[in-house]
Amino acid sequence: MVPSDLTPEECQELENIRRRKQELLADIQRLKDEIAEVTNEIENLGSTEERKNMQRNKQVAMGRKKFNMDPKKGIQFLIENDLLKNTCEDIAQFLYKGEGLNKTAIGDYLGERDEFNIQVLHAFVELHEFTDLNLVQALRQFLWSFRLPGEAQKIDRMMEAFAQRYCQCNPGVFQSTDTCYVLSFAIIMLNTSLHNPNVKDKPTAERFIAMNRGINDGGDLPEELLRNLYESIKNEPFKIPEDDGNDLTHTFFNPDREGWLLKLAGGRVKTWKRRWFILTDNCLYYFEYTTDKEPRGIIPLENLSIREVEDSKKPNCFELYIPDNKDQVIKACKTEADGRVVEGNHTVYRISAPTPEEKEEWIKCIKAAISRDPFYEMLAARKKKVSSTKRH
Amino acid sequence: GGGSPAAYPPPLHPDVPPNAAPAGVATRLSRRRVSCRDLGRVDCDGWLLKKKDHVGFMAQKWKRCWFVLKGHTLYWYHHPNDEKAAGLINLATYNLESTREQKKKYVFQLSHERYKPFIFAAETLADLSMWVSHLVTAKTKHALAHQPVPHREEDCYSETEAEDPDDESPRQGFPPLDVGCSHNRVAGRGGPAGFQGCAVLWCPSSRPEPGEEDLESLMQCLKQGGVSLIGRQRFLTQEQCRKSFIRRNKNPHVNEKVHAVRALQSTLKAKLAELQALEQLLDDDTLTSEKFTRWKEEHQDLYQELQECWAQRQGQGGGGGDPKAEQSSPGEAAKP
Repeated sequence: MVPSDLTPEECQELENIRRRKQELLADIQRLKDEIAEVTNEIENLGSTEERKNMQRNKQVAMGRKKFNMDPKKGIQFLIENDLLKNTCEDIAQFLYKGEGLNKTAIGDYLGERDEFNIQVLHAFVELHEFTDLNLVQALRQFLWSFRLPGEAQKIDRMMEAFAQRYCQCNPGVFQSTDTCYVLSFAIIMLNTSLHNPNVKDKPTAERFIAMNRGINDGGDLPEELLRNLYESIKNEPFKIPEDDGNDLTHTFFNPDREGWLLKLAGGRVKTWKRRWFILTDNCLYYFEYTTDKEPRGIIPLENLSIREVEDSKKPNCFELYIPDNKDQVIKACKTEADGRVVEGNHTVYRISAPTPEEKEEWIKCIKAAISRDPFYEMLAARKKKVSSTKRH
Repeated sequence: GGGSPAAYPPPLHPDVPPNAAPAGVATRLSRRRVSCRDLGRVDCDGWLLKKKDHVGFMAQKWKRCWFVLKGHTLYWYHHPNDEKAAGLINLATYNLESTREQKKKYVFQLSHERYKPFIFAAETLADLSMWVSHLVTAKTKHALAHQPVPHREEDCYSETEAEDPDDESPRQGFPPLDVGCSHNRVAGRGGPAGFQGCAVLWCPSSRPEPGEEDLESLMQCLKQGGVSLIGRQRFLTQEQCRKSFIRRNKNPHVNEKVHAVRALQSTLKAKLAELQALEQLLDDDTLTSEKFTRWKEEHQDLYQELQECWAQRQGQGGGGGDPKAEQSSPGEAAKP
């Protein structure tokens, strides 16, 4: 054992630190217990005794309620109470029927990455009958049965499943599933651009046709087909499940990452402030205390870029900035001490992490959260694939 | 012999459209007051993107217009059915050049020694070839016909943008050249051979396929409107982000509990991180003074907190104090 060269003061400090560790362990256990207790309260929405005595239909109603708050937990509840069989077909039926179910929750569940959820998605899609429907008609049916989630990966999985099913029901219309996939997206975007009042540039039928040149594995789809699809959308927009603002299926917080970071505060004198950062829902929130209910500041990550930087005062730094637009202020805001919400006046956010490892992790997580037209990249990759296929 | 100086503005072209003002009275506006229909048989037409001169905040830089080439006049319309052209250029007075644009692959420009250039982008290589070829031919024909090159501004070009009342000096002078912008003169003479030489001069930067560009432009439209693929409002404002954070459930009791859980979980994470830092120190069998000092530097905030906590306890006479000791530090947080 190496003789320690610690001074008496340092030894005392170590002792204090040991004691502190014990206190921490107690704190941590207490916190875990409390979390479990409150979570239980939320999930049961009532005492546990009641559950056993509940009648079947009340349980079904409870199951639906839980599903609408958190689809996974809802399904679990129904299975545990023998109201639903734990097979993809059964669950798919349950979702397809959708009785009392929130369509956003259905969409969320079907879009999950889990192997099981993907199987349910396929079973769900199989329940749709697309034979002899044109693509717009099929999409109308499909997009009404649930609310398409916002995340690119989820949309990709669901539209891929849709395209496969459509081609299965209508062989020969498209050269490949990719063609069907890309055209479906084009139609969805067409629907939005034609009918959403915020979109100014409305495409014409000719433009829509031109846009889809080469989409059929290098060849063109019949102009008449595309024109019909265009007219169908033009005359009648998709009916999409409403977002009434009460769609709150993300009741529980599930942040991508959280932790202490130092933030360079703007203003006349620049100082570093230690803040608790939470990365969730494509947004970076920060707090003074971990227990603050409302965030002190909000940084929406849309359109932001991130890069590593060297700072003279602090190590492990990175910055959030708007690319290509150096003078534009990041659309962030913060709460002043007196409660006023003011526009942040940063053009850049400079942040310092405690260790290089944490810096790497934060950068990785933030990059994953920043949406930079992920649809476009996916779509572009697919379109390249179908357009570059040689004509036969 | 030498060209005669124009005593009055000559007609644009022998095939001047029927409802244009008679020669000598041509005004800017009247030259543009011609619909595609009126132009009759044209040399070339199609969609091109025209770069805007003045771009507002977050507005699109390029406008898609319907272009028509007849004789040596290039007209453009916002829509093929418009009654009058949004602009026109007398090609005799402009030079066709290549150029580079940051987000466009198939670009070319028409430049003037005095006025700002017009910059265009074609959507495909085929379109670019077609336009360049026709423009070169048009200029060649004009040169071969030995027609004088007019000098007055209204004989060179005309456009709505320029007549905007807010816009005092439309095209005087050159804008500062973009870094990395390269210009290549294209000879107006020589016909087809000239064009072939021209093809070599185009060096488009690597950009996505034009087909994708169409989808991209559609996506851009959606983005401009602040809507997602399916038409949902994107999180453009911090207010929406705030609302999304605060309101997790319509049941206020559930909402409150959910926030309580969140605060507990954050606090738990903070404490676990602190535990990890302490264990890194305590579990080190070969701890030296130097290592300890380094640890203190690396965990400045934590060490400071600990010191304050011990100082407090000393003041209180020692003994098991408040294990949370949150008040002194802005770092950790009190249990709710």
